[in-house]
Amino acid sequence: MPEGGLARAGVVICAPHGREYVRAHYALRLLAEKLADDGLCALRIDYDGTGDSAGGEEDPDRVASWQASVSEALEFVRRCGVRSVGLIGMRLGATLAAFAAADTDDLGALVLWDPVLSGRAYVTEQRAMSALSFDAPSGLSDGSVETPGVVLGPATARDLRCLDVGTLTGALARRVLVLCRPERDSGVLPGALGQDHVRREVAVGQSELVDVPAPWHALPRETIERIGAWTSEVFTEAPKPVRAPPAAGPTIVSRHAGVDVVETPVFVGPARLFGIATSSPGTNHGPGAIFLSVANTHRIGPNRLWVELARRWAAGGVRSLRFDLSGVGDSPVRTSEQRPFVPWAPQAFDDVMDSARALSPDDPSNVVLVGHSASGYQVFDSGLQLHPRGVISLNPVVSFRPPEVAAGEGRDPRRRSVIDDADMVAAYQARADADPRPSRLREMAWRTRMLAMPRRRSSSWMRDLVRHGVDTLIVCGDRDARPLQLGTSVRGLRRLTRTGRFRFEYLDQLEHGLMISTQRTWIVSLTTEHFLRTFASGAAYQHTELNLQLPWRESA
Amino acid sequence: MTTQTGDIVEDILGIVATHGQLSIDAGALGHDDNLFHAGMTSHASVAVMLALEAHFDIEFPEEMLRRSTFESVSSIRVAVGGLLSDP
Repeated sequence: MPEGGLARAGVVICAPHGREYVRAHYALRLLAEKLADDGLCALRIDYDGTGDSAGGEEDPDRVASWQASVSEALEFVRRCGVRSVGLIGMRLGATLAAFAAADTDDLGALVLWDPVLSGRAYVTEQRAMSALSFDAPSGLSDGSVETPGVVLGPATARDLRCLDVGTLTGALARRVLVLCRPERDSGVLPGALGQDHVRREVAVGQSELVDVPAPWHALPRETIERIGAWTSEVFTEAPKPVRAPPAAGPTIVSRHAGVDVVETPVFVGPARLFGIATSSPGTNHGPGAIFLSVANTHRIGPNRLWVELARRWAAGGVRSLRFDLSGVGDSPVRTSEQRPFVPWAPQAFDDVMDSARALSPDDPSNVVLVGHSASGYQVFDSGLQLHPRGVISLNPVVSFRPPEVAAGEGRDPRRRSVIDDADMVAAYQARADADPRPSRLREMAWRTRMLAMPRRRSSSWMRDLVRHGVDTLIVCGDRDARPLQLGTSVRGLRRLTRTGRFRFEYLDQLEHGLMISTQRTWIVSLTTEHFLRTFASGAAYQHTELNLQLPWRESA
Repeated sequence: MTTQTGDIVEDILGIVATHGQLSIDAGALGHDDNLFHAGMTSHASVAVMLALEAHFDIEFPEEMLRRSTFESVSSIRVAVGGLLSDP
């Protein structure tokens, strides 16, 4: 909302879908802030069954529900008191925005940002992207389509294939801006988009935003500025008072095993980090789970895994908090010196402490930290600081150059498990990727390096975690396991495992981003079984459906 | 659609040069050279696949959507040739 409670219009921002949604999230936050600065109300939404919204991808009528989500968002913005409204959509969100525009009489502005013009081409492209990126057979034979991070059910795939922006007629909006990628711009826009009131420009930086994996994707600031400026120009109405919507309270978002699962948006700690608290009426008094946002993406976890786990575990009596570390997602930076959108930021240590105090005020250590990739690292070092009941780390990345070191400052003294000789690590891993056969020379060089920093060896800090009573579960694919395995030995891992507080699950084919649906399903089952068996009551454990069978693992 | 083998290879080379985003000169590419080692990303391989489908009016079935299908001009020629002869 604009400061001062006066707005000239309201705009709904429609996000992409799947992996593109995760990568675009922070860019769309910046766009919303830009619009608000320019005197416009901006509303970002997660479509039904996506992001933090209720429901899931396997629910019926996905495409119709997403379209309904956009219409409801437009109505919501109107109820805030604005007279004029507009729509901005990126990728599949642009498609949904265009269809919503065709059903809306008085839309002031429509921005289609790198739009998906053909749903059929989109499904084909996403299916190929998944198959060629991960080189894993989908194993789906019911008409479902595996895409990076999301499985489209048969009906969803069918309905998406029917979306064709070229079939739309009418003006769509008073003014329309279409931003195309140069490499995808055929020069001719289809159907209604060929009219005179439609302006076409270049989507600068789009490939660097949605085609590049986090955390290396880059924010298209020039395009964000351009869309903000264009949209602001369209709405020339005088500002009028608008009412901020009331803060959302507890909402039932799903039912698991017959139990209502309730979620509440919350602000965490003095820095007011944004998060979602999940619980159920039968919540027990065991440790709560804290899901850390991953690298510079937002709180839903890898392909919404944190949402899935939070709701599933809530049905088993576990309360949880998933939240955005400072400077990413929807959280602010902690200080004016902190740079936003930075993975592995040292401020994460304070963020985690604040989240533990928020979820478990009487005993902040009565929590289990859950992380993946960059936050898979963070749970180790925050675990050594907080001594929580447990840590669960999926594909942790412990080899990186800390941002404070890259900025010319000393390494944060709270860091212990990081191996920050980034050039050496990158060279080692790149060579290993090109030639996966073990090389004794490479391994010896690595082990020699590890000898020079005994406290940073994984054997040392893993032992300290266990010694402090931290139940530790690490799940790793081959690439992410290497730095951990080279800092210890098989005997060392066995010794830790015998304590009953340490579990190392090595799965050589596990893809780093957890983009493959069968692997994600397995991770859900494995972590759920581990958490509920270790920390929850036996009754809750027995009530949770588990399926630890995984065909790809047996054939590996 | 009748296409000579030589024409297919030339067409494939042209598509790879346009969409493959190779880090080397496509003209210096051997037919058996690994395109992924030559800098073709997953995104670029999808662009190559879509361009092949549009150019030859074919559709790659699920079982052919593997990196091995698109790893060299030769492997692409085998795949495209098979689809053209048995659509």
